[in-house]
Amino acid sequence: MSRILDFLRRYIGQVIAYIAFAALLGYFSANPDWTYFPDDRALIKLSLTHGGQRKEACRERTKEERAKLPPTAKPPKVCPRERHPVTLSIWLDDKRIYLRSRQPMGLSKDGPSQFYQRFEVAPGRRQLKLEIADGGPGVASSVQVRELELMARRVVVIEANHGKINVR
Amino acid sequence: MLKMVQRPMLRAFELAEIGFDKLFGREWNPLFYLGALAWFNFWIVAVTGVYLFIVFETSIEGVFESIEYLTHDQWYLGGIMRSLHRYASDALVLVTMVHMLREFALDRYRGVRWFTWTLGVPMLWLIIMSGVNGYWLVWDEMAQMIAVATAEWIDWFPIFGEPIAQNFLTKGSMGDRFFSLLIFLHIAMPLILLFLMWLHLQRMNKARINPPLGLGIGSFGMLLVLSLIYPAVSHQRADLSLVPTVINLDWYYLFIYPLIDLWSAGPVWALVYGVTFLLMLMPWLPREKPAAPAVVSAEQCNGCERCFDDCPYGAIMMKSRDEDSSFDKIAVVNSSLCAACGICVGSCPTHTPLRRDDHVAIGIDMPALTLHQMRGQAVAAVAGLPDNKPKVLLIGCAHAVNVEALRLAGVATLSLGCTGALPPALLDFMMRRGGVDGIFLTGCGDGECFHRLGGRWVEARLDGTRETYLRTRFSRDRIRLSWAAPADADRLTREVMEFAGRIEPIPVADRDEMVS
Repeated sequence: MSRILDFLRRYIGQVIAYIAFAALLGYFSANPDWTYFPDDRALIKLSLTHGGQRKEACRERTKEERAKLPPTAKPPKVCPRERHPVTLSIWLDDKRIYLRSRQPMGLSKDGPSQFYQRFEVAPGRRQLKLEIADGGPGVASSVQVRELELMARRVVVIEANHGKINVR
Repeated sequence: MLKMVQRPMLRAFELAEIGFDKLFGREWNPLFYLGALAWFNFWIVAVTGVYLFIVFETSIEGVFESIEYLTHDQWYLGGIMRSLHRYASDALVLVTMVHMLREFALDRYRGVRWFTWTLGVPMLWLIIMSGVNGYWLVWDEMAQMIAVATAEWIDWFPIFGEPIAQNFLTKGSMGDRFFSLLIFLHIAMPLILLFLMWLHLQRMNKARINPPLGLGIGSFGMLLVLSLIYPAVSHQRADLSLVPTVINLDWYYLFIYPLIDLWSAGPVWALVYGVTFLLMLMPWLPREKPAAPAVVSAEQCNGCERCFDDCPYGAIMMKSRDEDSSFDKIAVVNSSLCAACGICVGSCPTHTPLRRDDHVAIGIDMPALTLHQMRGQAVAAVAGLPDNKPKVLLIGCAHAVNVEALRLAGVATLSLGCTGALPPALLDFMMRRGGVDGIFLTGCGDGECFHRLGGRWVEARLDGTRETYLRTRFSRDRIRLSWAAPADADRLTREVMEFAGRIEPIPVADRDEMVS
């Protein structure tokens, strides 16, 4: 009799242990909930690719410079490739929400500057202003303004590619 | 410092082991098969994954639909496969984490184990990366969150020219081949993991990669029932024009995303690199004083290969002898692999039978405690017992109950680095010539043996199923074996005193007969 009870106790105990383990597995495989994004907010995603102006303009080679080059390689102009970093400022309804400067890509710093940023904002009709400074200190910036209709949970993508702005 | 962390963890594991012993018995105790259970879950994930791959559609439009079809229309097969795939993956993370914690608590990560431990760290990350990659394949709202958050997290390092997150701006940003790339990664990463799992065991002789049948059936049954009762389901279909809000997160794999949300990308990178670096450095923090490795005696070694078979770490190789000898082979110890457990001494037959007066010469021996010294310590311990009572010798190991600290009246003690280092011939010798009437053996035992195989070999040697056999003409009742973790000290004390109480003295005539 006691052997039967021991047997039952052992196997019932195992079943309880398996249930506890299954509960642990099952619960944390989908619980507790996590709020990734509040459902009463809107999202603006900005993706901007913009090449800064070249740091130095192209110029004619001097006679001395051309004389030093091999006879088969005598281009009349020399164009330094390095670009200025691009500074991006973003205003939403006259409040600045972003200011960052990015170096040009590439080892020679001759590629475009890249920006990616997301902004969690209140829904509604909003005015977005982008100011791009790409010519170094003292050079005027370009400014672009867009009216946005933002809805809760909706993603508004602003893609700016070399001066052209798309809002999707 | 580390001991302060290890001790409470060890105590918790010991209590859990005692509890599981009562429910599952020692032979099925899941804590002794954590590595094997990880393998078991890996195979379930692999087999179910093959089925899921067959019906998986890799186009952006089809990927979500194909998973939904499996989950709902084919719930009786595809749905169960999907749920098993998920829960076995979760179980894989869970048992791997517990496996790692237990090895740390038992201090089984340093010295010769550095390779196995260090390799385990990237394996754990690879498991997590494979799981995250798998969730991405469902292409529901959770997958969308994973895609965007992972890309933004990686973009924190400005190593890529264009931000990766730009690939998930709109539906049009993604191509159909994207999921082909993901499924390729989801197959490649587990294959790399499998290779590392194989490598992980290369310094472990006779590693267990399968749980006992009963434990395997129970574990699989549990996953199956869980899959039926609480099947894995998807979130809403991914839509890049909408932000996912509430996510039913799988915390075993996706815990990193709430952390990024809470701390931002940089600190989470620091945490990931910091934890990885610390874990990989741990075998050398603090530096363990290396024990002197086993030493082979060219004169005594007969090339029988028993030490080669029994070494838990594969530290012994057999080589052909160069010199003139009546034996073809000789054991050679790789000192960088030798953990100095002494199990090879317990397996060496060259000292048999042990004699009283000779200097014990043996084929392989431990410099820290030679067999000659072991015999001397045992004889000296028993010599201190009163003659008017039966003499009992309690032999234990340094990683289980401290037998010397028990201070049991009328019981002599001998503590070894591993009970597996005990040659059976010493037991016979102690009864023939050492004046002992009964011997009680204990230690950390099979499954939880600090040196892995010591307990298993001791049981087999006493049962006569593995050389070196216990050969004695005394009754087997005079030798008792009972494994005891440090938390089992009270039980061990009761058992030893009960054993000491029922042992009768060996009649002098019988002992003389044996000696003669």
